[in-house]
Amino acid sequence: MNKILFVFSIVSGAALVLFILPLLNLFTQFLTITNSLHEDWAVLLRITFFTCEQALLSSFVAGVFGCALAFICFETRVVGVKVIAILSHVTFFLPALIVALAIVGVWGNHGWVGKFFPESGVYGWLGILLGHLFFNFSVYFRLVGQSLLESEKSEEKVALSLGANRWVVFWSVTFQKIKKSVIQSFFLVFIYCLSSFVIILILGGGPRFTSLEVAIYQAIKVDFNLKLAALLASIQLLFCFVAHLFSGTASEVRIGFRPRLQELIYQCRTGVGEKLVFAVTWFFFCLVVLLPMIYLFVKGGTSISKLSPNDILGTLKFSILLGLKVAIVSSFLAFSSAYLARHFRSEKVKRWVSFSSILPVAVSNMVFGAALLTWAPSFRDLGSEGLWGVVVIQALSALPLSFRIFSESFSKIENEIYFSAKSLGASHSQLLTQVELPMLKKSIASSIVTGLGISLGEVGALLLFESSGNATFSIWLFRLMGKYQFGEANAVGVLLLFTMVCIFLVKESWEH
Amino acid sequence: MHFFGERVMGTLTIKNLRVGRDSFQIFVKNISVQSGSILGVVGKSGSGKSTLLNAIAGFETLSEGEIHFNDTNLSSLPPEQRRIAIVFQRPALFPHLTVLGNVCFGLKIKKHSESVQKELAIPWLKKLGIADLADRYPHSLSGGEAQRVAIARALVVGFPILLLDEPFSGLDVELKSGARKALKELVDELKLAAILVSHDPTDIEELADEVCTLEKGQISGWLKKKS
Repeated sequence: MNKILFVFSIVSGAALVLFILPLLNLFTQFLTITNSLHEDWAVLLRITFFTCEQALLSSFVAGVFGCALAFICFETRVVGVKVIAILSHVTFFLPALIVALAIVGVWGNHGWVGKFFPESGVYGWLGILLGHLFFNFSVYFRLVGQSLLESEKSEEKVALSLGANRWVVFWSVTFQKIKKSVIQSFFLVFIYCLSSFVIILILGGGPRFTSLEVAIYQAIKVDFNLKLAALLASIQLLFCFVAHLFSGTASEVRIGFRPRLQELIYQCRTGVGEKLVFAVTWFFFCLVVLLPMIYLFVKGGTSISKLSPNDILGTLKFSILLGLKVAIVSSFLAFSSAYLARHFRSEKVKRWVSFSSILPVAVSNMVFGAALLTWAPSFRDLGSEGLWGVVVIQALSALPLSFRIFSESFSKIENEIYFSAKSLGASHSQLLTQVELPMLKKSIASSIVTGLGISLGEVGALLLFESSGNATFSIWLFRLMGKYQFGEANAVGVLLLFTMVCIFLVKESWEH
Repeated sequence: MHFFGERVMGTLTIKNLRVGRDSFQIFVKNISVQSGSILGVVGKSGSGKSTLLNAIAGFETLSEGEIHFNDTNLSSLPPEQRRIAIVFQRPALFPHLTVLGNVCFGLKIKKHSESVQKELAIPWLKKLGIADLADRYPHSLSGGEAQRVAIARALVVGFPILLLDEPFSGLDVELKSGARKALKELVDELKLAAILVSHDPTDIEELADEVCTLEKGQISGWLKKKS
């Protein structure tokens, strides 16, 4: 084994141990405390049932919207596909707090749309479904859209030439090709919804809508009952892990789209039909996605003057510093794992490295936070204001996406490039420093931005470890919402959004 | 022509070489290639031609057998210490480096100063007709230009052995003819021991001094032997 492979193996192994040990401890606690707990089991069952119910419904609703949008965008000629694609990228990375805030603003009793339907009320099922739809339609849109783009249309042409109408062609040919990506997306979104915290906490609006994730938070922060938190986290973990096994490729969501392979088959043949599809698509897209974003900019923009510049600068500095730590740790871990997955000879080891690198998808920040605190309570005080605990949790949550970025880039380096460099005398370290690192420059930037973006928007780990001191934008926003200062909250939301957009723009400019 | 390292001449000898797993193995009993000559290897797809080159270069682990250059046993050395240059069907240029950067790569690895790198590389760029492309990046090169860069990169380091894995297959007829001529001259001039794998009978006809046919991983015959 070469030295670099050895060093990266140690790094990845240590990270895996740090990840697995708290979770194992969680299960041990689960097995030992179930008999001694005096909780109301009916309440626990209701919470578990609600968690699964909302996740199932949300995944289904997001699936219908996301798949329909993907199909319309990539199989017909709807104007504005690029805008939808870019916005779907933005919604995927948008902090849940901002989304919750914007949804209340648009769909709440006094909101832009909600005031026309005062009886419906955004808090409860409507809010939860809208919140999850906002985030998760993009998972379907991207995965299903990509398989539509990549699939050749020869079979469809044959089916059409044999006399099948377009519905038959869709169900018997096209759907069969995209079925796998629909199922993968479903399980991935199911995991995201199972571990959804902020949307349920804010838009659920009451104890009836308490999910496991919210219950874990309450057990730790309100009841100070770590044993109960461990029990809840174990149940949550179990569900997520099973869903993760079904989803198979939890880190499949790509950042960009690959180019189209074939021509359109399902294009409307009449001008009226085309216009109708265009109108319906954009109406729903505006209602669900655009309007909340516009609301935030309009309301937040006008309230920015209410914030003190010192607070803004202090928060910006704290958020960026924390984000950079997270980005560096997650990128280093992801790079190490992707390097191992590329260079290990044994296919079995490669598969294990890949599997364990995307495993954190199945573990929400709240669950891992609970596991970490149960396993080593001193993590709460590690670094100033529990910062390193937050860094560890956020870095692990960014790991699957960063790993995906690196492993995809590693796979693009042809064997011949390695062979050429080696035949010219390059050692393993020279190969790393003079071939791989320069070739992966964009991926490194991309991974760092991803880590930074995830950290900026994350709130669960920060709430578990927070103190009254410095806060990130997300925590500031959360505190303002808790005090019902929605004007200021909107302003902080816009600042957070603006920071994230700036970071993504910098990344885009590096890449091009 | 300048090149890095001392000019070593001799014979590349391959004895009882066995590579591969249960499903596919190649076994080569005896091959020798002298400096200044080209051995052509032909065979159907999947017959093991590229595996043979990869084994000689050190990218495949040998199950048994030995590869020698003069008295040096190469089989025990890692690829980076064998001093065997290789040119693939695809140019495999480093996309983050310019043409000059690509050609200088092997020299940089040996920690030569930038001025020495240029001094050694530029004559090769001129000889292969790519001097005016020195500052261009691989993505802006045509297939023929990229392949010439790959050849320059392989030759500038002055290794005594050159392996060519279908190096002309991406070129059009006119370019192929020029590239063959240039390669033949270079092998003669530098006294390289070269092995050429190709599907194209014209490549073999024009370049090879000896030709062996591989079939299911074994040499089934020596097709042509020039005296």
